[in-house]
Amino acid sequence: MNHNLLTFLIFICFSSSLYAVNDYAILSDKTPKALSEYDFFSDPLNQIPNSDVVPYELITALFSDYTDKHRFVYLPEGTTAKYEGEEVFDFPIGTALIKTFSYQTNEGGTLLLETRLLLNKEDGWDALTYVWDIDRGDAFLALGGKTIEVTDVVTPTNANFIRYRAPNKNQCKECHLKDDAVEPIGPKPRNINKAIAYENGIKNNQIDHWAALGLLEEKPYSNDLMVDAFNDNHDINLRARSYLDINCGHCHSPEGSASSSGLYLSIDDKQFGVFKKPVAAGRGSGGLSYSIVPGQAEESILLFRMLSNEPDIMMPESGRALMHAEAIDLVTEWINKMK
Amino acid sequence: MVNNLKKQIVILLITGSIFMTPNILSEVIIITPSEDSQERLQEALILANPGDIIQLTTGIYNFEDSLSLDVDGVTIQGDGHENTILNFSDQKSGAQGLMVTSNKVLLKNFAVLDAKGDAIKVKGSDGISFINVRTEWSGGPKSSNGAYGLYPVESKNVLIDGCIAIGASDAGIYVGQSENIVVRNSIAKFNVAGIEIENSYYADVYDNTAEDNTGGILVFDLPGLPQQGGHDVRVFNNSIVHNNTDNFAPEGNIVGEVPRGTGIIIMANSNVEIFSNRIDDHETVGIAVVSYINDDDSDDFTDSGYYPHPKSVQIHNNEISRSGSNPDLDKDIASILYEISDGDMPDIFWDGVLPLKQMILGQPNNEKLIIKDNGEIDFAVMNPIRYMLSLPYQLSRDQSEYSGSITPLAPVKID
Repeated sequence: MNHNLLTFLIFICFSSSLYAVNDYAILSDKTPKALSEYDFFSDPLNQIPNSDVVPYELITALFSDYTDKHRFVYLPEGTTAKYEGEEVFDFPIGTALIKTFSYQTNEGGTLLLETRLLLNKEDGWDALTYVWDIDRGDAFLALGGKTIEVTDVVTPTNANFIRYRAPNKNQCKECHLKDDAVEPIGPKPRNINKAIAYENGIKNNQIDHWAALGLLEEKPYSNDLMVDAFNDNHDINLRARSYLDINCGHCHSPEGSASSSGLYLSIDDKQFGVFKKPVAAGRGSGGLSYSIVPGQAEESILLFRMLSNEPDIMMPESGRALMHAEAIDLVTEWINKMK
Repeated sequence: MVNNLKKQIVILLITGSIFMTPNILSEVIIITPSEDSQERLQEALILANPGDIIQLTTGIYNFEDSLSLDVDGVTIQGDGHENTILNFSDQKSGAQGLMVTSNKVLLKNFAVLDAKGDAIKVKGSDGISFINVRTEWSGGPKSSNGAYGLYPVESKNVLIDGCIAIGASDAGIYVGQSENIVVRNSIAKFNVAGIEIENSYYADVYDNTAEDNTGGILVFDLPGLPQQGGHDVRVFNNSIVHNNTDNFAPEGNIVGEVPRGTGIIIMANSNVEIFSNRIDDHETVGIAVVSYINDDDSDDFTDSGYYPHPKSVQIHNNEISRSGSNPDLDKDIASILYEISDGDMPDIFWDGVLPLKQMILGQPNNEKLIIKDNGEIDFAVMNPIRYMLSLPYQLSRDQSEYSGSITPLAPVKID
């Protein structure tokens, strides 16, 4: 009897350390005010997740002012995500997608900015952001968003001041809306189909790893359409289309926030702006006639809008305050080589 | 016994009406101008429940970022468009002042000033009303002004009533890819286009004033968009006067092609009725009826479902005066017309462009342009084939062919 009780207690301790995430917080109607209430992290300031929270990476990521991103996925115990063709996986209720944005400081430390959550609740995905307060060791809900003035951080372009915007709840939806529902963007099979190093140092393909953990249904998957946009070994066309897919395609799709523009930029869209006229672009047209003029990057609105930081001209409309120099080079080369 | 029953019914009715009326549970959230207006108003817009009223008291609210509403059934109201001012002159992020993406929303009695992009954009809403709202760029007409003042797109049941739109570098009031639209009692001035109805179905535009724009009222349909084939648009009882402001649209935009001094342009729509308007003092032309002409490299961007010609357009009982005194020869429509009319500009112009078969064999009767009871006016229609081949008689001024009988369109009903 005592022995059994002891085993039970050990099991409780063991299981609570193994499955420490607070499922109730994820599903609750009352949105937690502090990130710590979810128990995603064993060491939040160093972004060390609990054992049932799995880090992941995308082949090519959305540009967010050169921040480092720490992505994690959590599924409730015993549940499995399923394939939806090439779309975002069909995640079970109770799933949390977690993404922390940070900079490296000039002194070599880490400046945590915000942790964004997508929580799959009974009535659909909820998008939230928590802004870090390092002194208190926690991040706090910012429904209205927050402006963070950042200095002394490392960026490739040596930006000395960044007016970083944590998005408000509606701005989250701006990008994550598909038809009338909030949807994740990143975790599509084509975006995670690559090997990363896990904590034990072993490299493994993420799809295989997720399947081995039981997070994802087992199914052979091969699609190398998406490539690392900044790896010169790949075809320039695939690199540029991969970049536009993850940075633009979620809004610039028939179901997305930019549906009314008629410009669609997912990697499999056949017409992606070649000789496409602007419709309601206003100053965003820059006096140019087409989204893309093959061979003439400087005549292409697409590049013009990447080259601006003015609110009514720049693309994306929100989520960046800096220009993405490497992507500008990439798209310039791509259009100039296009026939 | 009967009395008791009556009492019970009365009580039932009263309690019923209390619980049935959604407004009874709604809250009025009062916001005042302050240092942190941005955060407080944005949080209120996010946390609002259907039925809530967000009341903005008198004063100037300064915003650095765009605002957005995504909750159904919310009213945002101020103390009048001269008193409650949402000022975006220091805007640093966001492509519009206010963005609305929910249904059954009422915007009332406030002004949006100097937004960096569009002033108020509403996307995908069923039931959006703008009442006594002003959108303005305070520095006068400039190409650096935002594109649109009041800008509902992909929406249904749109009401714009008693609004004022000033200084937009595209259109002051712009309704795009929408359905069931009423624009009335509003004033649009010093915009490139005063009021524009684009790729939309069932619109009534009446009792408005469009003055000092580049073009007064435009009814357009463009290719390559999710919703096209604009139809059933009525423009009536408007005062469209002196729209002679130089075109200040950034190049590349379709309104950049509108000549200074244009009252109304109808492009590529079907079932359009223009009547009882006063159209006075336009330096290029009073009314132009034109096809969408693809004159450049964009053939590659083909759109097979698009019909580029206007059809079933009726223009009657308008009062049109003082047209064409100083046409804007920088723009194609004006320069071609000037050339073929020998400088004698008409009040109403049709470019005559039709599918080739119809240009040769004629149009179906029910698609023909009708011009009737517009008083003593000059009308001109181009013969595009003769124009292309440089043959004589490129312009006809004979109105008699266009005097069929008027078939009134039905009034628009908004749900």
